Amino acid sequence: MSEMQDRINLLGPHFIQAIQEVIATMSGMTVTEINDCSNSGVDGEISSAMVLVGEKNMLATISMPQETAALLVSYMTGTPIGKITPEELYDGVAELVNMVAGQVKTFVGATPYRFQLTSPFVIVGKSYSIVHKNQVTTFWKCFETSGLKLQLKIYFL
Amino acid sequence: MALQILLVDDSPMIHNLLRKVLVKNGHEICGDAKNGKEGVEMYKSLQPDLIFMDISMPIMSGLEAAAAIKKLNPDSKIIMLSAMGDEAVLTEARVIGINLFLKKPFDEYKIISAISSVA
Amino acid sequence: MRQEMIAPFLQSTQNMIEQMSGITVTADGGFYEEQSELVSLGLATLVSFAGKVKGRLLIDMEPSLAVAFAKAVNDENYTSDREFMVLMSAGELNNIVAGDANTLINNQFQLDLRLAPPVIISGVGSIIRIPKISSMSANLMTLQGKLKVNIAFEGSL
Repeated sequence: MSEMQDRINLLGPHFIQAIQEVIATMSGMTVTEINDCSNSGVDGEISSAMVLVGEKNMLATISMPQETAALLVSYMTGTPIGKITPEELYDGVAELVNMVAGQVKTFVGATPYRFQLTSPFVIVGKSYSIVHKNQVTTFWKCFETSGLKLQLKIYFL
Repeated sequence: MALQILLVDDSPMIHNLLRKVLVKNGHEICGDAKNGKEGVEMYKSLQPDLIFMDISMPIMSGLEAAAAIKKLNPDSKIIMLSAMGDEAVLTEARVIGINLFLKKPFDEYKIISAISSVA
Repeated sequence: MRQEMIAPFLQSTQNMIEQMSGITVTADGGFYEEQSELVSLGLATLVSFAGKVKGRLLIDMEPSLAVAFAKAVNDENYTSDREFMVLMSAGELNNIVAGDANTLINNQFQLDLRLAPPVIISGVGSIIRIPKISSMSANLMTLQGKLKVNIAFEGSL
């Protein structure tokens, strides 16, 4: 088995577990993995992202439509959806990737795949795209919660 | 003298730039690798006269790949490319036995001078 | 943020664009504290770095400048800032600028900073938001279009 496959096998389940646990803990919402990501209909209007710096670098992104972000942040903060400011919304989704990456960091701390967190950032827009150099392997999973969808992508840079 | 050169870099722009300068100066690009692992594999099959190797690449870094190539052939000629050129990086490159360190960006003069001092 | 930590990024951006492409870059004022969100000029690249401190460099440029830079560097014709080599050239520029500036900083402050590969964000008007971290921006001008350099370090420097 290749080194890349070993990394994906080790890190992928940790990211899935982390996203489910973080959302459940912060919002009480249950997040279910969707098997077929290509037909998930996840539209990334908002992406929270973090570069993970280690011996091998990664970029973790959690993307979702505005509606999903608003619902998640509403549950996380207790603020009614209609009263969430854009600032609270973006900070909330940034915090999400921060907590997910932080949890994975503790899982893999003793392995060769340990990494440092960097500042999370959020990209908002209707037609942005995130691009990388050639041959970047990605780990891609989609999730559903209360009928709304979000996707996790890990780019092995 | 025309050299057989292997390029190992994950940046298409750097490949482009090096290829143009090297071909213009009569050298032949015998392989294009996008990461260190591909670089080591291509080195084994192509046995190039010289390698241009980036440091920061996915899958296997340039320093790891250079160490592997130097283990296969201590006389292999490697010019290391990097955007970083601080003392810690230079020391690591020296320990591995890198023949020359070339900091990005570089122009034709720097590339050709680097080849002259190594080959 | 200490001036010695941020000044090299502005200087390197000017130097590297001029060295690599021959495009003349002039500063449009000095550094100022950035508001929490940036509205992208069209093509933004982000390089994170981590060592004894963490930080990131964002270079945001107008599509016309991205195309002109890629044309000059690659000696090839491009028509859109969404073309692969235009995106890759902008990413490589940030990598080189961040590497050059961090080399100076590492040698001066022994911070052991290491770069992660560039993340390229394409889309005019996309909002890039980096919460909880103060950053400094400087605007630059070229005949081919505007660009902005935004630099942030975490922690007290």
